[in-house]
Amino acid sequence: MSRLREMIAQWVQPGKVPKQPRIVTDTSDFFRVDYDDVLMLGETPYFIRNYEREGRFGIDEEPKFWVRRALDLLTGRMKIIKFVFREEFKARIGDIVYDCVRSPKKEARILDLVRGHPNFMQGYWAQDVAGNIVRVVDYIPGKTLADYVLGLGKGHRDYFSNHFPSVLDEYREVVSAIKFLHDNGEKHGDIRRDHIIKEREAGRCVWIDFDYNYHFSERIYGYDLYGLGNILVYLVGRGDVTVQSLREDKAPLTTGLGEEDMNIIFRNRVVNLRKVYPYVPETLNYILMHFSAGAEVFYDDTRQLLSDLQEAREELG
Amino acid sequence: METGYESCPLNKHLVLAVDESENSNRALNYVIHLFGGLSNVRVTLLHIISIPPEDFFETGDDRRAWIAAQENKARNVLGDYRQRLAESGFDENSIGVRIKISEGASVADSIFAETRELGASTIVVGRRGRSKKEEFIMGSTSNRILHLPKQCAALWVVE
Repeated sequence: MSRLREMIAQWVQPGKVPKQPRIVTDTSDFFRVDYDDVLMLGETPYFIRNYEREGRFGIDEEPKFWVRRALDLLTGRMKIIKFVFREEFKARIGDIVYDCVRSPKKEARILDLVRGHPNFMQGYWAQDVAGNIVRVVDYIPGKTLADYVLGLGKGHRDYFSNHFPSVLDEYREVVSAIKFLHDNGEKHGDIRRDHIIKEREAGRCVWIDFDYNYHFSERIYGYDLYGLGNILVYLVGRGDVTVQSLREDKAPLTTGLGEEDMNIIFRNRVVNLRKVYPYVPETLNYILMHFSAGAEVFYDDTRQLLSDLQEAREELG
Repeated sequence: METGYESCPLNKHLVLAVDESENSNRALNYVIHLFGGLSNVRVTLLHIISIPPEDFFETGDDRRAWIAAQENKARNVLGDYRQRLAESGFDENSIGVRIKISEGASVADSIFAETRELGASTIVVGRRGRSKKEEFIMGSTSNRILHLPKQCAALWVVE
């Protein structure tokens, strides 16, 4: 025990070293894994810290009780520990309801698949003494891509002229990463803008949290593609451009917007951004319109999307 | 004039792709209405079982049980449809039934692959009538078959 305390003392202030840290080897009941416990996973001790929180759009910060920060006591590096929490539920996009599953096994499988890939969170998985698949992933310091772009530029025009081309390059990189998953028969499962972290140091964009899976028997990757579209619209608009936000800004263009210019699912979000920002080139806007209520054709796969993105990027110079 | 479709089959063999839905029932009624009592028309009733990814099942046993239940359901549907075709004047020897398990491929791709294997010249499917946004997210079997390259089979979509 004193050896364990010594290891903890290497990385935390003296007052923070527990007198008798409890050693956990079975994580079946993850609610019983407490702050200051030490999780032994194989030969590696992890000093358990706080819960992670679900930070979707910065509104609902519910604790994720199955996800803990922890210090790797061998290296002092901060890790995210994900315990086994499997659930099946009905997910909803607008009024479309579909079956969804949260699967630790799926995320573990993808961690193996993407090992060394620069655009995915990195980590490994191991079984605890009860056979639970525990995932250990690197903590990524940085902002979500969504938050990052909000801080760019003095206004939309400045953002679009001076920052967006490099943002688009980063977006193409993360779309390519999703293509890699699809090419390997896997989905991300929960593509949304706060699931891309822009690493503080390396500056790379990294996908996180791929434990969801869904099943559409026809458009197998349909929900992933929809998520990619939503992110692109957000990046071009430097945030959500909605009917309400345009009204608040007293933008004169609101009257020129029709139903066909809006998001195919969420009818208050503007997709035809060229009507709001006329300097958005036609080729880029054409891509956005694939995700609009007026779309006649949809992207079948990431290859098609990437091909159009390349053309749009070339036009931006 | 060469059309590129010279090697495609041209016969009186239809693949009627069905499940337990009302639109499949409509497609069956259509085929009965159009061909019931005619000789030399061959129909293969095809049911594709699209298996969800393994993550949807806690164990291998759960997955096997799910597939068995789906196969059972499919057998009932196909048995019923087979009987209705026979009662409508189709030669019993000209009615085939197939159940195919599809994993990782779309239902449309699976229907098309089976049609090719069977050498049939026509695919008949019922249209589910999905909204545009449902089609955007989930897709549409009839629409996908329609857009498959060089199908080598006529597609009839029954509304």
